[in-house]
Amino acid sequence: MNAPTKKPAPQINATTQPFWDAAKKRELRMQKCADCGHIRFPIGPVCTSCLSDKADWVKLSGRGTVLSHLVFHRAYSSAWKEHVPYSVAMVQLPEGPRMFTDIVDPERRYIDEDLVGRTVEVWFDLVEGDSVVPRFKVSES
Amino acid sequence: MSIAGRIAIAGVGATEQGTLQGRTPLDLGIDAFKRAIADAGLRKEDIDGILTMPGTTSPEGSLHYLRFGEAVGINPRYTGSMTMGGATGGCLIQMAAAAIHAGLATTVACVFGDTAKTGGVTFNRASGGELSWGLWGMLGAAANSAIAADRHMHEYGTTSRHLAEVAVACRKHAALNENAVMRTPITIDDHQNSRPIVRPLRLLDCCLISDGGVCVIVTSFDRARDLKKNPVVIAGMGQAHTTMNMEHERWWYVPHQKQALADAFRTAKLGPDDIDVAQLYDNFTISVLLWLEHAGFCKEGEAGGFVEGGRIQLGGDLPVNTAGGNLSESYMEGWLHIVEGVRQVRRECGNRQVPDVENCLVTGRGMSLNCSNAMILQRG
Repeated sequence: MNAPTKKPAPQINATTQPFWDAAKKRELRMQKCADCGHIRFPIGPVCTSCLSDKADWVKLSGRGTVLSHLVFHRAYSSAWKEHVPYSVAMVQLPEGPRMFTDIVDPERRYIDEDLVGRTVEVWFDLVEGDSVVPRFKVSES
Repeated sequence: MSIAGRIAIAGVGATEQGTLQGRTPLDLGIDAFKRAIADAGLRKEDIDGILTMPGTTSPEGSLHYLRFGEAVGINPRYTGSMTMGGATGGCLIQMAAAAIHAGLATTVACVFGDTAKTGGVTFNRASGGELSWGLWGMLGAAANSAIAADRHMHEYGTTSRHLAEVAVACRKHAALNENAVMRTPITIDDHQNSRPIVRPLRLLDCCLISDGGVCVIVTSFDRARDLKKNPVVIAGMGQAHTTMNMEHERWWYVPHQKQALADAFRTAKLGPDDIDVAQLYDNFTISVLLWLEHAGFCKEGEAGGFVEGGRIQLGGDLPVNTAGGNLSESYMEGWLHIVEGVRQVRRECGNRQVPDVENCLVTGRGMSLNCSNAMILQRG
């Protein structure tokens, strides 16, 4: 368990609650349609493929591949000011969905590298306000 | 009966641009409106439709049309406001065209005014709604275009120097435009030495942030023929949008733009070879490369090489953003691209006029990579 990070805390509502509850248990879960099997992200009230409202929150492997690697040299909100420069990746998850994540890289080892194609794994970050946010770090293996 | 060729732009108006202390989005919109009706040779009593884009600093938000109508003393038959970022201008003109074609109005003023510069707007919004990408540091308009640039570089070998060609061309054109905000010429090295914003984008890849107002008057071609200026016909139009950012595999490549352009070319019965000059929406330099590929001026992945050697500069094969674009003229979210398109087709651009223009392509894109449109403007 890390000391709480000074990064934004999520605004949680009834639709997104299971995602954040899972994160507190150190699990990355997304909605899998109980009718057609499509795993959707971002979180939504119905399946984007068949409109079914029946879904199971399935646990994902927590691994992914970097599709795009950005480095922010300026902060667009005060919450990120002390973290500049920082990396953000668009990550392809093997189960199908894609998500954006900042790359956990406190020693800034990867700022000058190109991470496209690299494997990343989920890392659960305690943020101020007692929320846990799933982020990704570069897999060493 | 097809709408293609039956609707025209009868007048355009643009205010001074830049840092305009003491102005408001409303008064800039009205200033542009007065210039546009004067340009068309119309009185305000001739305007029976008002479509507006609220400025980023407009306090009225989606009720902006009410305040604008009240302020200029017009009770319109047809009105509304829409917010689609840099796609709004083109989409409102298409909406006006459809309304005129359907008989809901005869002459529609499309209006925008903004004080983003003096209002301190930083375009720092995060996408993602209730699961805001801001949680993961993915904020601001530059970030989404940085994804597009990064992917384009990885898939096609495009370089930052290719992006620089776009910035250099726009600045060269702005130097010929007295109303442009940034007129000092720049080099590719200037671009390469400008500070990083969101890698791979640098400062000179980014558009300006500006105050100003723009108005475009749309009417039927038959009516426009009797007005003051040569009518500029909307020969073809199209629009297409994507809402599914994360679930759309090549969202970063904005493939919906290709559909918008295909519809514009199809309705105009024209192709890329017929285009003499293009005003391509340039919130960031990468945007111009994507338009060039989607319009078919070059093949997919080849726009980096296409823009080398001044090909998109005045005097090149395809002059692009002849007034300087969002990058160097002023950031009116694409509205000035429409104005410049009209002026090029009217052949009134003086020392930046492309010779013998018959057809100008004008494109718009907004809400980061989501919304797009295209129009072909033609001499009437």
